[in-house]
Amino acid sequence: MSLALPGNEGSVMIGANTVAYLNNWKLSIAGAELDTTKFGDTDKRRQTGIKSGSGSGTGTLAGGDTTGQDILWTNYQARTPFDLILMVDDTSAITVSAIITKMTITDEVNGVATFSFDFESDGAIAVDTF
Amino acid sequence: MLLENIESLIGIESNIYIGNFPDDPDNICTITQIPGRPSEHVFGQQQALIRKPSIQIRIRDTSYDLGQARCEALVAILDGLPKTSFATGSTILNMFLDSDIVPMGSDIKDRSEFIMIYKVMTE
Repeated sequence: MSLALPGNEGSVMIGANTVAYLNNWKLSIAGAELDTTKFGDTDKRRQTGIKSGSGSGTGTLAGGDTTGQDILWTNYQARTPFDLILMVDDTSAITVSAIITKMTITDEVNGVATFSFDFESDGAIAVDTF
Repeated sequence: MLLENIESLIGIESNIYIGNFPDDPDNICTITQIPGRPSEHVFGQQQALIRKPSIQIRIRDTSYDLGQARCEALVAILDGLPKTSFATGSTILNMFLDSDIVPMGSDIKDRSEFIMIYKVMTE
């Protein structure tokens, strides 16, 4: 029997630490296809290419989250890959060696400051069975 | 608790009622909570990180002009209220006038009524 996985059990972790105040993450995994069709072919021919992943996370900007949001900023500045662990629930994890490609802060006068980050994968992505 | 906290901010009003609108006295101010927006949750916490209620302030005065002036005085305090913490432990992050001052006409005793709606964010 399959069971739905409630979204509120998710999280994003860096090492053993949870990134605070996040309410959304996304990961897209893509496999390139190379067109190898040649003259004379009557049907498209394809060859599988390399795989890659990219994603994002969003939430409320947290002051003083030194082991979570601050680490994202540090790694963005450093331009070095680090292990980003995307938790679907308490036990199902997707581990991505990630490079932060974009950080965005939004501050609206009648709201609270929010932030988001985008990442690209560096190497293989370890996906659990859910 | 939210309504009592807001009451503590508007000491300029002398006859404040929480949630009811009695016929007497003539000049009153009522604070009522009304449906707001969905609260904001984050991963790992059952309780909302930010709650987004709305409140209605209803003013009644024997004079239209004085009633409107009382409303303007409340707007000056509450609209754009900065982050405010209360002894109760709760915090209003911000508060904004969602409608302008709305005149509601007069009641059967010819007393003028006004309402204002405020959006509030609390943690």
